[in-house]
Amino acid sequence: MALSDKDRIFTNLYGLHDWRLEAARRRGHWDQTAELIGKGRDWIINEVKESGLRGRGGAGFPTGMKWSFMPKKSDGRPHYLVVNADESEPGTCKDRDILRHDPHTLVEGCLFAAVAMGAHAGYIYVRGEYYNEHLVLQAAIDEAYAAGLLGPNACGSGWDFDLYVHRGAGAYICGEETALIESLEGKKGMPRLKPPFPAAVGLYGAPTTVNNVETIAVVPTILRRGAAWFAGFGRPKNSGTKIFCIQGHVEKPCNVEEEMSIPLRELIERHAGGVRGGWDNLLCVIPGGSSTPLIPKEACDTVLMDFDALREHKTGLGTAGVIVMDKSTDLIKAIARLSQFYKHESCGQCTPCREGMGWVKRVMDRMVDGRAEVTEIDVLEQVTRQIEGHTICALADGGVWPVQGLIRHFRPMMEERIAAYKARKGAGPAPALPLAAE
Amino acid sequence: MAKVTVDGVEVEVPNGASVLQACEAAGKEIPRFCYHERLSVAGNCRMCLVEVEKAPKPIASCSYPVADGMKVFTDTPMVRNGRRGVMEFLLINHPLDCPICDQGGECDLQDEAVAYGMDRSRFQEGKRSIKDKYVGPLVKTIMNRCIHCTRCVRFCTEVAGVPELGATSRGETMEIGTYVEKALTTELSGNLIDICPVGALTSRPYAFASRPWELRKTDSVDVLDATGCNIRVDTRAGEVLRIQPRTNDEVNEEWLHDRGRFSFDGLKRRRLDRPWVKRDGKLRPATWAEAFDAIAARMKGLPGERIGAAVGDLVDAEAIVALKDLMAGLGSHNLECRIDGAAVDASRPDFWRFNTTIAGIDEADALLIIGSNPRQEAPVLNARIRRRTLAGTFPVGYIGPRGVNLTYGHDWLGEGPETLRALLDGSHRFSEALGRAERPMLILGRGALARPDGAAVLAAAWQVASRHNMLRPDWHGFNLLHLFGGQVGALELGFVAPPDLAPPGPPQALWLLGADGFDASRIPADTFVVYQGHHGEAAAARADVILPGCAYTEKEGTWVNTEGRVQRGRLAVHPPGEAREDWKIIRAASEVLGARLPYDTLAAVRARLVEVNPVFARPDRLERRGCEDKSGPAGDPGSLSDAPFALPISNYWQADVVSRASETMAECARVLLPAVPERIAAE
Amino acid sequence: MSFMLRLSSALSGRKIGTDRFGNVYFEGKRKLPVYGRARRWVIFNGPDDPTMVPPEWHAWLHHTTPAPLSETKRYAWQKEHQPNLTGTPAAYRPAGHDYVGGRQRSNGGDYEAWTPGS
Repeated sequence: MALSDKDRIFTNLYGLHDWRLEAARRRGHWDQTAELIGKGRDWIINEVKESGLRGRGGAGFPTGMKWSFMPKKSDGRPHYLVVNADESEPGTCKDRDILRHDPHTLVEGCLFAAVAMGAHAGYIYVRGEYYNEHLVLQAAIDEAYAAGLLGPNACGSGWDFDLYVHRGAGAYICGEETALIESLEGKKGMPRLKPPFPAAVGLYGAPTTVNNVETIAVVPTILRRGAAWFAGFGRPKNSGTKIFCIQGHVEKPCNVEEEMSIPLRELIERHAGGVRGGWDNLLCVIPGGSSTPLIPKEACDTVLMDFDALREHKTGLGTAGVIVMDKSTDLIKAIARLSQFYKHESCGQCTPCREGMGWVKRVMDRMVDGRAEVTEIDVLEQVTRQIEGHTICALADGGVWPVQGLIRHFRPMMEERIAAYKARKGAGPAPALPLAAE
Repeated sequence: MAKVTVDGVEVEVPNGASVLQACEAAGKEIPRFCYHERLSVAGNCRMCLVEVEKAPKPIASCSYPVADGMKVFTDTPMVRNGRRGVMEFLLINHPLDCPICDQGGECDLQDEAVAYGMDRSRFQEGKRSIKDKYVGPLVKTIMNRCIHCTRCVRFCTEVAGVPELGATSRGETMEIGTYVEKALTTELSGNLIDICPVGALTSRPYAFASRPWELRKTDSVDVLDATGCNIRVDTRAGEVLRIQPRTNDEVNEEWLHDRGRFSFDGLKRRRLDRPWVKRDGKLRPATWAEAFDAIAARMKGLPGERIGAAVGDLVDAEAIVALKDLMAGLGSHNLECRIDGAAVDASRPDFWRFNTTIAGIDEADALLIIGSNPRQEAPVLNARIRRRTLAGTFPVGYIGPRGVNLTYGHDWLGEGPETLRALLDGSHRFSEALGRAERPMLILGRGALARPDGAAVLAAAWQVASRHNMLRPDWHGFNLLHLFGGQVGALELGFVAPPDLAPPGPPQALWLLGADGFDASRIPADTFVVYQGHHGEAAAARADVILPGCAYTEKEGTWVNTEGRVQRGRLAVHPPGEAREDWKIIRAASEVLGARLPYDTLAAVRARLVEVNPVFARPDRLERRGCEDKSGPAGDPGSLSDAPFALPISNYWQADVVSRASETMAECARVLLPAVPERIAAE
Repeated sequence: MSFMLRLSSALSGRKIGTDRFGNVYFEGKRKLPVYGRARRWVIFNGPDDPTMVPPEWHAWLHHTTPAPLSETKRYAWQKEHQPNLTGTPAAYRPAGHDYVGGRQRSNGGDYEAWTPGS
């Protein structure tokens, strides 16, 4: 049971049609916008709540609830909407296609979101590397201004709304909402302490909500077609449609909008042409972008692609960047490369992340060759546990989960690698590795 | 108030307090590196982790606000493992060079490593190494030891007001530095050494000098500026090795300015360590007996009105009162403590004190600075003004040279007394800001009085205060900012000539007590000059008899800071050579001059102090007074000249006799004086 | 140097050499069981003072080098080996010490006194 074409939200995901306003209108965007806004702020929030939409940026926090945290009445400070288009997660490229092929879904969504949270100004923080995408987005916003869809009395709704595009400078950490806010303010992109949460003290000290591009972009369609329609897809609490980015060792890597809770195997085989060399050649899958732990083939056989099902397998849906690896993969090297990425992108604020990521990366580099002791696998895992959950933001957690997943599911492979290295180099007397005494 | 249970102990803390504060209130010590009470919360060291009931993860207690009914656990396996993990991470890239580290023995990391460190390392990789940076002649950096707590960055931006330190790069390669290598241009840089929890920022003059447990620590008070910072003098084998601030929330909080901290090496140079007597036009070494004989020979029998006495900037109250009594015994009224020529009106304490008090700055809501640069004259006090400007609306008006960088935004009103006149008749735009304020205050620099029309400036400033509602029974907004620690004490003791008694002619004998700044060219050639002090400078060279006295670390003394706060300094080291405590010298001299002083013990001198001014009965306590009497000082505002105000201190690092003798301060002046660009302040 | 020591040395070890100070060095005939190497020892020329051993032989004696280093190869910057003289009349004393007949400066050198004209 696949998503039928009539239920697709992103009808121009592949850029087969024109992205401009005229064409977007023909595809049904900017339809009845003023009437929907006229139904009021509470109605919008309620619809989004009932649709069961969960944040598409990785954490999966219910969007309607997040919006309802914004103060109902302004205390004199303005409210801000910030859209997180700093899509830097390795293995994820869904926002990019929305920005360049369907920007008007996002622009219209921003207007609805702004009304829902009482914001008169919105910022779209676009990843620095997305240069062309930001040009398209800016053009779409200019079009919308020209057509009166943005600006004072946006779309004839009586709501004043200005939307700005800001380009980042290429730091992964700026995808974290508070670091994004810092960066937007012109400071060094370092996550802030929470609490206070951005809904209370955010951009320039004013109440702010940061949402992912996809989250905002699906809102207009939800409002037009009704919460029940959206909630009808997927399992309860994991409802809706979602863009999956399937890549790696599949026949046809692709971005595809699909129903939530679709079985992973069906997703890969229907849309991506199956695993290279057949399903049995599958080694493992990272289901939600680089910062989620991998799941081995046994789990891939049955797992459903949604937040809760993946949580049961100690991983997460994340951004739904499905990285497929077949048996030709040097899995340890792949994970070591991820460790290097997270070491490089650590902002350096918290001790465990700053110091620990380098440690993990270096140990992983040795593990690739097998230049290590078997006991060091335990040390490595303990180090990742020491990093996890002890930092301000979740970058450190995301950075060590792949390593934890590797150790959890492929420890024998690491031990073999070490043994092979020893055999090759001639096993001298192994220096006893000191372990921490409790 | 919120009720919080910490390890079963119930405490009440104010709403908005952090969990760490609640734990402290419950008597639980929480290890921390980045958290500092007087800086903003960074929450990045992650050492202060505690467990909160129902929280899945340990939380950083320094940044987490308390909630009513919260249950906090500070000693659970989760907490201990979290802290151990953080400690291990801190140590993997921290060099284990404690034996050669100057912070050893007073290092937070060392202490916490005892509690949470492992006995061996699991880290098999290479350690990070970072090039050391030059941040000035006072602070030495060993950047390998940096644990990136960013206390120094926050101190520079928040307290010192010079955002020159910062972090470059990110992640593992993050480095603390000045972006472009340069010396820090703050007068508070020594505090970086104190707040650095590890040995990354250490004292350059103190490098490899001593270990903290070898030092004898003496609580004392700094006299090199008029703030009266509370200090601790660390000595070993009769030598001052370093000076550190003591916490006193009403005066210096826990900061100390660089001149007070680092100029102690001046206490070992150019010292007067034996009496000298001029014979045949040349000063020759002498014994005490010879010196007193020479004094007796020239001074005994002189009419009182032909004898004069002047005291300098750093003198303790005991010596001043002794000299005053001696002069009274000799029948002389020719006393002067304002050797800089400042027209301070000594008739009422209101006219010379910092009446708002230093702590009172926090309550004020508008400020007018006249002819003073508090950044150089009282850096610690200036930090408090800066904090007040950051805390909320606080208009600061400034009359003085244009382009002075006070570290906070201020409204430059004018250069000279013409602005004062405009404020007097209310036509100036800043009058409005002062008028809106409920508790406006005014800081008048002592330098603004050291000019021919000083009395007029003082009177005009008083009238400005009076006009703008600063003088009320419940609020006193008139403040005189003095420059050195001994200046107020002399005024409190009335070491001035009565206004109606003019000396009949130039003095035939002059007793200079620590009066280094006394202009020797003003002394007639045939005047007999006794110089008593601890450092030799121009005034000493002019003297006929030199009596070696004690510097502020070498005697039990009483000083009064600019607020009128009486504070005690204590003997940390013994004076060099044959130098003696100043009041004892005067007491001995009184004997040979035939005007025997009635006190033989310190207690008796102090009893006499109280007799002269009851203020001395209550050291360390200061009563805030409102203004009961609005009548102003003598002086006619009408006679104001148009000359612009000049700042009294042009070289902060060498402003007094001790720091002028200090090599450290000379180096600072060499490095920093041309480098301090007096930027145009934000208007 | 006692006769018994010489005798037992001759019996259990073999003489390796004599240094320029007249100390005689021996190495054991058999290897010690745990260390896997022969014992090395010295009979001092004079009172027993370990600091008498010059660096060339010190290295050999402590198994740092397999054979003693050459005593003849000297560089210009090398100083002659000197035993520790602490506790003897020849011990080092700083200038100003009573035993070397010095007189301390009046200020003890702790500070610099002012003189007119300075």
